Amino acid sequence: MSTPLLEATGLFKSYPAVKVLKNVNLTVAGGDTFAIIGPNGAGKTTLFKVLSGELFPDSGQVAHEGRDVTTVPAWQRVRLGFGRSFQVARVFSDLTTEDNVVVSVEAHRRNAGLGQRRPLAWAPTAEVREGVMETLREVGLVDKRRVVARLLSHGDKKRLELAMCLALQPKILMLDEPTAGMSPADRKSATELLAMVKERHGMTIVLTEHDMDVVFGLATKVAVLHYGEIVAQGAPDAVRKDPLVRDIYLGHGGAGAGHA
Amino acid sequence: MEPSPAQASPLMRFGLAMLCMAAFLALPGIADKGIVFLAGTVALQMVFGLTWNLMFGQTGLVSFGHASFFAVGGYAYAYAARALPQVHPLLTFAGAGLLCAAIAALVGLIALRRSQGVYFAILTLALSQIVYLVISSSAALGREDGFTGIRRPKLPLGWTTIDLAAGNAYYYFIVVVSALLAGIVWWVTHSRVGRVFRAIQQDPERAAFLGIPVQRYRLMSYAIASGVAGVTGALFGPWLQILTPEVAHWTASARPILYTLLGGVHFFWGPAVGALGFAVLEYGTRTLHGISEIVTGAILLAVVLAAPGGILGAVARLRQRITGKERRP
Ligand SMILES: Nc1ncnc2c1ncn2[C@@H]1O[C@H](COP(=O)(O)OP(=O)(O)O)[C@@H](O)[C@H]1O
Ligand SMILES: [Mg+2]
Repeated sequence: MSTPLLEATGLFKSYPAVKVLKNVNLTVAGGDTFAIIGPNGAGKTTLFKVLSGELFPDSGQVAHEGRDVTTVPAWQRVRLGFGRSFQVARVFSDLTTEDNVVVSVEAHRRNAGLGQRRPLAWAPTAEVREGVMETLREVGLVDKRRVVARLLSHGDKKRLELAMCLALQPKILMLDEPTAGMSPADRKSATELLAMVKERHGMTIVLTEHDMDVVFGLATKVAVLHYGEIVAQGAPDAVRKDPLVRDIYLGHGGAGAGHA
Repeated sequence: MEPSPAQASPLMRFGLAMLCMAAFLALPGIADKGIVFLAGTVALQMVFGLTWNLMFGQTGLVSFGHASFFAVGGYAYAYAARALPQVHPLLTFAGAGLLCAAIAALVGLIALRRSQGVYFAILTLALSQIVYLVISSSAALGREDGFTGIRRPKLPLGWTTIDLAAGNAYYYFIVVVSALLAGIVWWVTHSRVGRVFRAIQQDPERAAFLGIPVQRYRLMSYAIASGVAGVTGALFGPWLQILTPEVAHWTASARPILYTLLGGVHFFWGPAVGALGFAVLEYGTRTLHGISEIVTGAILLAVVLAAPGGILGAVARLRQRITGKERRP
């Protein structure tokens, strides 16, 4: 078997008052769309932070292509090909939509060693502007490129954040609840956008969701997190049929148990 | 990258900056010596203010001790120019700036390690106290009496040598170099590095997740701002021909903060406009013996309360009101 792209072994993480992650193990292979699902409070965001380097675990290991990256800080993991979005979209709210992506493209080009050819020019180079337009076109924000990000709708902020991640040309795209707080219609278009992105770039995606139905069209592999423990992991259909999972999602309060 | 859609066009802003410089250059022809002296000081303070806002408005770093670098640059130049008179003065000026940038880089390694801004603010304040104490107790730097007899140098330019001690030569030198320094700060602000600074100012954690080494860029901002501030201090010594520990006092560190509030934190030229406004205020109230500080303070407070975006914020709102109807489709 080849080395997995991302592997977590025996992760534990506590906050002063709560034990959040309890012996989490998971394996993401290259090309997977890996969905971590679980009700609110299960520890998905915490797991995400540990995987992406925002937090370090109390014990356990995170490995990237076989290399231990447990305590590698976030900005260095980005250079290894991690691109991450936040549950509540975080964009640079006083910059325009366009400039948010400019900053991202320039950060990527700098890290990838693609030098600027005109050292004294201050405006973004033609290559940067091209990359920005292409990314904005992909997420459908070209018309709003001059809008100050603070004034964007919730859904558009999520799109912008996705654009910022895509600008980094990540090998692993990590999305924390990419459809959180969206209307069903927005949710559908966001899911379609993700499917399209996946098809075009073929990168590995790791995402979290509290709503099981969203991920089943998208995911190639699903892990169910329940009170900080992975209770099921595998192909979507197998996981959906798992009695324990059915119990968690259908047992208490029906299909909507996971909704906030 | 500009915060307000109601700002003047880039060409117009460039024109205004040029006009401002032309006014400075024309001043000796129309004003008396006292005003020219004040104008030279103001030109340096304008740049000094711009450097503080490079940290604050652009990068989100609050320094309470920016005058330390003005002072270190000033004293370093004065000392070096006396000890090594054979060195080209431009090199000595640049050296004073580089020394300040290097000190900031070292201090920043410690002061910027914690991500909390309070930590940085307090350490910069502590640094300024140390600088003040060192200067006022060092015999080589003249203690409380000040470093006296700082000469305006001769400037060899290859084909000719300009005696900066003659007539208004040093004034013109200050104006030209200040414009150059302001140009450097402008360039940094509007370049890729400036965009990174602004991203960090708004959300350092988000910036880190774009692969941006946040601490390194904060350090860069601090070092550039301090280096340029050091050069303004270096230029100030020969202008006044004496330096006293006052230049390192905490009240001197408060000045760029006041300039920025007065001129407008969200505008590149805000601190420069604020420094100019501050000087006009001080000049206008200079005959009110004993109460000039109170009057200056009251007017400042009134402006900041009435126009939270500073002078340029008020101008932008006015422009928006006038042109607003045409702009809206
Ligand atoms: N910074 C924090 N400090 C203390 N407790 C936290 C913190 N963040 C999350 N928690 C707690 O950890 C648990 C898991 O939270 P989280 O990882 O956000 O779950 P999810 O993303 O699955 O909703 C919750 O009980 C939450 O209250
Ligand atoms: Mg969460």
